[in-house]
Amino acid sequence: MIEFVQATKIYGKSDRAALDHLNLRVGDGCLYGFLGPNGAGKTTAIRLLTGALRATEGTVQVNGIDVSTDPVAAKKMIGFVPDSQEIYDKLTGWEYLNFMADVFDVSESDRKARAEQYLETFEMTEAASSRIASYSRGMKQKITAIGALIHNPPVWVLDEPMVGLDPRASFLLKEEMKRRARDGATVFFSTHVLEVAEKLCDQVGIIDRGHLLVEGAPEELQERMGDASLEKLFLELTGGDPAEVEAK
Amino acid sequence: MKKYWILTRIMLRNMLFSLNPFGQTFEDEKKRSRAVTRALLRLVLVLLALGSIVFLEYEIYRGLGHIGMPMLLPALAIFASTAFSLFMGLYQGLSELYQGKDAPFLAVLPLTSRQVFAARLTTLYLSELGLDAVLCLPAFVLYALGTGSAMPTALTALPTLLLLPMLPLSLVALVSSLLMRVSFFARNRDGIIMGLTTVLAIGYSIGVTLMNSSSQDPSQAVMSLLTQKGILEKMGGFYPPAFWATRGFTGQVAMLLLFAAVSLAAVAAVITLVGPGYLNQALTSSEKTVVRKKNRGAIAWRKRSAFAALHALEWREILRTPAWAYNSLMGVIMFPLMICIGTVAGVSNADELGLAGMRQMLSMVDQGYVALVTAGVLMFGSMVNPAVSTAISREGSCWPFALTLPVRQKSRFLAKMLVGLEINLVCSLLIGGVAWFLTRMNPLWLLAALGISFLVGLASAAISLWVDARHPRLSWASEMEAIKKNFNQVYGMLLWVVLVALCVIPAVLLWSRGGGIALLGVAGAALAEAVVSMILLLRISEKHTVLQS
Repeated sequence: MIEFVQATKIYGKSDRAALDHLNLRVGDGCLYGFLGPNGAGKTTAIRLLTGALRATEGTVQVNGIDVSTDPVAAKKMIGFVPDSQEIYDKLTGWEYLNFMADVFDVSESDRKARAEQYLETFEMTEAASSRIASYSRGMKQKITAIGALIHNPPVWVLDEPMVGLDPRASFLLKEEMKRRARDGATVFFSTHVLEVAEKLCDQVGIIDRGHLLVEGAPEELQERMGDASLEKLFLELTGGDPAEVEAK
Repeated sequence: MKKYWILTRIMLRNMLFSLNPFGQTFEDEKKRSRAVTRALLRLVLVLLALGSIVFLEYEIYRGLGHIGMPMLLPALAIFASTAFSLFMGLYQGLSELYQGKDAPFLAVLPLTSRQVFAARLTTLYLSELGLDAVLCLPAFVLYALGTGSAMPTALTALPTLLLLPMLPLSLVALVSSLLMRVSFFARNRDGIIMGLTTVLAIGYSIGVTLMNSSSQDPSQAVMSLLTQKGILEKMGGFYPPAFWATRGFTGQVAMLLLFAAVSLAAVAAVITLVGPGYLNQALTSSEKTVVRKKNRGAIAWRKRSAFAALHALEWREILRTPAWAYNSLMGVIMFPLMICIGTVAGVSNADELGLAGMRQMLSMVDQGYVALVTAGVLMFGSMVNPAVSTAISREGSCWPFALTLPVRQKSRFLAKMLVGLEINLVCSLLIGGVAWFLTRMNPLWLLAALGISFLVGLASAAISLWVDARHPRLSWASEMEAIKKNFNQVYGMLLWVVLVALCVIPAVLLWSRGGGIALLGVAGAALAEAVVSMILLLRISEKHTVLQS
């Protein structure tokens, strides 16, 4: 379970909050899609959640643990897949997974079993002996996802996970996200791909300029908007007039 | 030719961009004024460093003037800058010429390989020229003023200075190209290059030492070292062009012409030989292939502590990134290693030259003083330590991800510091070995000296990591930029000077009370420095646990 309570982030002396009193609760077994245009505050929210940033105001909790008061315990609950592909690419795939298992304190038998299972699932077994620097964008995304799953986290956080993945890899990742949510984990991901959110998520939240504008199940939101698609709802809420966009 | 100039100008502008706060755009006035303040602070530090060099050279010149060997100062400066260009330049040359990330971009532009190579060589030349000017100009001016020959010296100083980096750089470019060619046949290119570079440098130092420890009569050899001419000729044996440059600078026109001809011919030759294939080589070196092979089955799923994992990660990152391996490991260890090998290789001759006599003499001196001087020399092992002083900056865009891992910042910082200390330790042990070999001092005194130098190294590592943690340079375009063009490294060196200076104070104050007492005083100062620096580092590790906004 993850919970943002009045979470606010103001960078430096800026007069505008990148995240403005965000209240958000994602329960166990929920697959939550976090939507918003560029600069809406998605990455800031994820950085607060994963402990890379500290909230100016409010709290962020992971399974009841406050990220700012006990960051190490909170981070241990999370498996994080960053969007930037910036991971330690001088390591081979195996070394990276071993490193992640070490910092997350995973036993030898568990790390071996999980690494082999996920490498097989994501079709990365052969490439695991090579250095990450030589991987394609999609392969990097896959090895980061495996690294984030090596400690079997109760909370899985993914920042723009579909970017750079080929259709097959994208399918495999989506299946894994669904499976983990079914098994009771909390899966929280940001995306620009509205169709993915529409089809995949139990709940979606739309954020713009640091404010959570709306949240709910995709069908529920569609109903509320008179059967409009999530795309239309998104454009309307985030400033673009759907009629104008359509006319163009 | 026009394209060459355009490319050179862009490369130079790119090189100088980060140093010029006025050419950048800032979000607000406060950030701009901060950047300007930082730039002014750097300027003051640079001026202080320059002032120290001028002061040091002035003192050396005064000393040499007293014994009637004034020409040795420009000679020493020329030899020192040549040694820097040759050995440190080899690592810089390899990084700048072949590790740049812009090779694929340059390859699609309508430029010839030779133009790109010449532009790259020019930027390297200009940065080396700057370093040579810092070392040589004060020496040249002091010599000109001291000998009362300002005008003629000025006429020879300028061409000498301009020509000085040409030959070493040409050799560096040629050797780099050959190393790259050889490495293309290997799977682990970087490892092969590093191995060959080490073998080359060691081979050179052994070869030169053996050549100079010739069958000369020992008494004659000693006598030759008592004259200015003899010392110059001895130095010339290590690298003759530096001897020609010194002679040319001091007025022997024929020597200057010889030096000019050889330097210019070397540049022309290297552009002709390396230029045409350069771009292909640079492109090949930037290629990274996925080696698809079956699971080796022997993966060691060994569990380690998070600290051990971070420590291993730090070593892997350094060893597998050529620019970092060259600058933070090879470049630091190579010099003491060469001194060590040179000493061992020249052992027979050195013995004959009165080593036994020197040991005899030292055994009559208070061993505390010997240990004190040894500790001072050993401290140089921690002077340059980019492995620590750029440890956070090198994380670059991985830093936000690193902060999401469930490890205490303290563990992360200490793991990084440990790597730097291990490199220091290797340097100290090498220099310590040479010191013991030369002095045959009591091992306990040597241990005390090693302990003091370790404490200063610890303080220096902690304080330079503290600086880098406060203001890391996380956005860089190339790995070279992260380590070499990072001012935190300079701050680290300057803070080392301050730490060493603070240790000198008790040594001076307690000198008259005996070597042992003075050594104890220095040990106390070093311990206090280490404790204070560690407290500072641990405090910042508690504060800087998230990205600084």
